[in-house]
Amino acid sequence: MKKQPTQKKQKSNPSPLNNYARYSGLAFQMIAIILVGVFGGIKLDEIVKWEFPVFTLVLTLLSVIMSMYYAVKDLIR
Amino acid sequence: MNRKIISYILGALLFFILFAARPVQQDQHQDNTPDSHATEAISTEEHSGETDPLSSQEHEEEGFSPSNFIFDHILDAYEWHILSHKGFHLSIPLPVIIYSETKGMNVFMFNKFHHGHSDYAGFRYETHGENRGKIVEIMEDGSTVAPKLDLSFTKNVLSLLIGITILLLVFLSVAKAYTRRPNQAPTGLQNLMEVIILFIRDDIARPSIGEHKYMKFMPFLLTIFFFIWFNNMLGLIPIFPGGANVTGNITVTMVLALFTFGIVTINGNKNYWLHIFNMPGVPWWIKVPIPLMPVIEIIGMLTKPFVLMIRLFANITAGHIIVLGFFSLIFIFGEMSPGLGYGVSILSIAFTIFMTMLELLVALIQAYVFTLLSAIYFGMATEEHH
Repeated sequence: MKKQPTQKKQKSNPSPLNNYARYSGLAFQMIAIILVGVFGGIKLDEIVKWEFPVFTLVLTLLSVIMSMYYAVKDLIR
Repeated sequence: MNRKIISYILGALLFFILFAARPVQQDQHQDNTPDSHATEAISTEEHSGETDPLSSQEHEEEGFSPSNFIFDHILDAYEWHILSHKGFHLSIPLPVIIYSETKGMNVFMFNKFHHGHSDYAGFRYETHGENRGKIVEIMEDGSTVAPKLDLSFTKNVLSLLIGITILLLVFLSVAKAYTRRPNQAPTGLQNLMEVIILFIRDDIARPSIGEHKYMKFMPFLLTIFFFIWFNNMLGLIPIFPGGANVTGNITVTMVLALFTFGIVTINGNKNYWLHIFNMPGVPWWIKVPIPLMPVIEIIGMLTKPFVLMIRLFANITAGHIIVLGFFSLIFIFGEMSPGLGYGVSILSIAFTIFMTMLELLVALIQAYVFTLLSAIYFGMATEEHH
């Protein structure tokens, strides 16, 4: 990004509220990812009708891991 | 430029009116007709009980229900209730527009129902049970069904129109001031609005979207900021012109969030879609056998407007509930003993004033946050490779 001389102050010093707003959606995003994983797993288990709920377990764990990965990636970027 | 902004505001607000109609109730009621019979029986019993003056008085005194009191305010209504005093109700009835498959289009004023005491044109205003506060259709066998389409001109719609009128009055006069006194220092209302408009341009749009593209999004950002802010403040006025819970209505906030989502989706450039479907800089095994990263990015794409919707809705509704909760305390304690009610009222009113002051701040902050987040999402959608 180019820095215009008039914009220097605002760009180098983003307000704390700006940062708060930027990342306030992150928790919801993690929740949504985990929920989609869990409900997707439950639905898949209902469809395949195996005795052991493989998809629920695998997708729940996977979605938790992925949500953390996503959050960390978002914060680094 | 200002005329252009005004025309944008007008267009966008017309859309808000169109979309902010009452959400249609699906007729899930059909399945449990025995239930509705039962509730009806109860409701008619209670009505017959109310005709007895003594028990009706008892009903009035014992029947203060804080949740009904609060939710009657929070939810949309077919009339604008102003005050009640010992059985006297002052309220502005609003037009009911209902389409049902059997009865066709029906347009009539809400006061035809006499607050749920009488049916009209085969419709009934439910005062109890599952469909409390809704207009239901009475079928031939006596069961009630939610109508196919309820496009009634409700309290929130009227409040939206009032909000729009105020916005237009303010901004048309400001725009006129610029043409009447060109190249002169702004005064009065024009001065106040110029400060806010410039703040949105220089502190929200420019840093978040970027120097070259921000102008394209300014009309929307300004519209959404002033729309939310003015309607939030209208909601804080306790009596008639204000007091409706417009920005605390999830349909209204959903439409606002959908606008942001639509603009992001339309303006998303190659870089934006690349980050969604083929995120650079992540290991290949997250993307190839099962497209995990795209799935998560799509979830993220949908969560963003969803969170916008929930945040505004929850903040404004919570503010209204807190204030009404403090008022309810007076009556809850007043039912125990009148003296206690008077005592609590001092504390309660002090807290209400404090909360209202806080809500005045929240009204501005929520408008700011909604605008800022929209701007950040536009910036993300139009960002070039970095």
